[in-house]
Amino acid sequence: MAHDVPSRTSLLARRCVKLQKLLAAFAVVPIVVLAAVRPGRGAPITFVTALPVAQDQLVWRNYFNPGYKGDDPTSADRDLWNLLYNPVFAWGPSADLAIFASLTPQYSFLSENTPQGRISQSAGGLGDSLIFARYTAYSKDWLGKTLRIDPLAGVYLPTGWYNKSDIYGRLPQYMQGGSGSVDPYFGLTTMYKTQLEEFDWDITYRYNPAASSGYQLGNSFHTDFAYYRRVVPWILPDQGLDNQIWVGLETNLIRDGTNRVGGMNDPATGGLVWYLDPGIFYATPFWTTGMAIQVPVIQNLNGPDRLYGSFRLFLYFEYYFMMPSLPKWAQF
Amino acid sequence: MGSVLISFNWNFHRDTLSAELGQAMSRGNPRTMGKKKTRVLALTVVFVLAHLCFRSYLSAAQGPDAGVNHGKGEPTLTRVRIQVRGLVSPRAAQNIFIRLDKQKGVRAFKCDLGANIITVDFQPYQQVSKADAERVIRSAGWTPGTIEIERVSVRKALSDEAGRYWYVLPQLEGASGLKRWLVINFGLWTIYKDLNVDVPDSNSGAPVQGANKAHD
Repeated sequence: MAHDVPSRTSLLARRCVKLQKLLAAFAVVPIVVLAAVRPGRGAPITFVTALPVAQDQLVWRNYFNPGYKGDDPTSADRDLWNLLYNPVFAWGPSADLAIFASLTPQYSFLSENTPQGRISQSAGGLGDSLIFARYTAYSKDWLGKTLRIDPLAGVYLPTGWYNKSDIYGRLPQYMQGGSGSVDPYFGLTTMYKTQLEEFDWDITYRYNPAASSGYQLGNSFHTDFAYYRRVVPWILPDQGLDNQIWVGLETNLIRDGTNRVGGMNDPATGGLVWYLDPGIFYATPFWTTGMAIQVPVIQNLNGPDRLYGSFRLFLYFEYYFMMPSLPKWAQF
Repeated sequence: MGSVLISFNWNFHRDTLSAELGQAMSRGNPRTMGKKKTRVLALTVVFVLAHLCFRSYLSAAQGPDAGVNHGKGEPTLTRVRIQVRGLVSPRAAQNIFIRLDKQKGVRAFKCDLGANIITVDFQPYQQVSKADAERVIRSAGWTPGTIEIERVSVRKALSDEAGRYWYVLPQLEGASGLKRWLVINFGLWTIYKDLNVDVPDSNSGAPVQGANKAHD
């Protein structure tokens, strides 16, 4: 009979293991969610790394990103809505150097079936924040064409919550906004643009060290590509600077490593996701706005009970500000 | 006119000197006579030097960069036409606009994206060099190509700038930093289009505030 009534300690241990498995199973999702809005992405709408930033210029881009994940292979029939409203700032202290900062305010809403019936959980607040610097290592300009190759490096700061809970217990990892650690981030971005077409590509890597709780998210690798073409005006007039409409297609490939819990790899985490994002944007000399819809093409996720993404909408508005110059002694 | 003035001065000096000498000799005091002579000589030197300085100032003010075209009697300003490599979009042009606002004496500019040309009109009193133009384009992140600097009449410039594609910078020299920042950054460019252009008077070369109103 003794094995029918587990001791309090063993019950707690089993609960811990279950919780750890749950955390591990869903740990890759917030990375995907964060990745979907972080600036190091490979397309003009879903990324800002290739934005040209002039000296003494401040670029403010604000996203509005509602996303839905409703493809659940389990009986829980989970539905996850996630809304991000993240501002990105890029400032140029010199013509070659740009400093980027991205904040990720967000709100998540989850509903799922449980033995107690269908329940809803929600969480809101600030996610991890990203700061990085980009330096134009190589640039070549022709008449009506430009090529730029820029390495970048920075860190994700643990400004997001990573241990939030409600009356049902700790929230699943994909509703947690942060990793709980300072994560180095680096990469390379390339832009080739003509007056008619634009090609952007980037490759970035985020290293996730262990958080203070002993939990370590898998490292994240991204590569993105974007192609856009000007459609209005179809033929560019010689005179003046007309507002323009561009349409195009972006694609994002994301590979997340497995998480580590208590020093052990969790094979039910990590995976490969490939997205396509058709997009359109309207550009004026002083502001730009646009939208793209991100649709998963391949979701090769490890583990049997993962929640698969359905779509994410990207809406953004961008404005350009003139800023005061740095004092002479601080210029370089 | 300068030589006339100098000869006049010389005559003045000589006449004054003779009068002083006559007075001193009539008093019969050789020591007083020497002091007066020195004073007169010093005054003469100061006067001649002052005249030379004034003449050089006049010639500088009447030079080709002073905003006055004496041949036609019409005020002019400097127009710079810059070919820009890498000018690919409105976004790219805005980078240059940001830098132009930092440049002294810019009053209006235009971007011809299809032709890869930025045209900048400076205030009539502002001198500008090719190096200045290159610096603006490079700090915006692009590469300058051919640069042409020409003098155009203010009347023609104002007529051009009334066109659709020109942006006229607000003249906010006396404004606070915050006001200037707000005006520049929130699209009030065109509201200030016809205000506060310093057009030099064709006779004196002195700037006349708001003179472009008369041309409209």
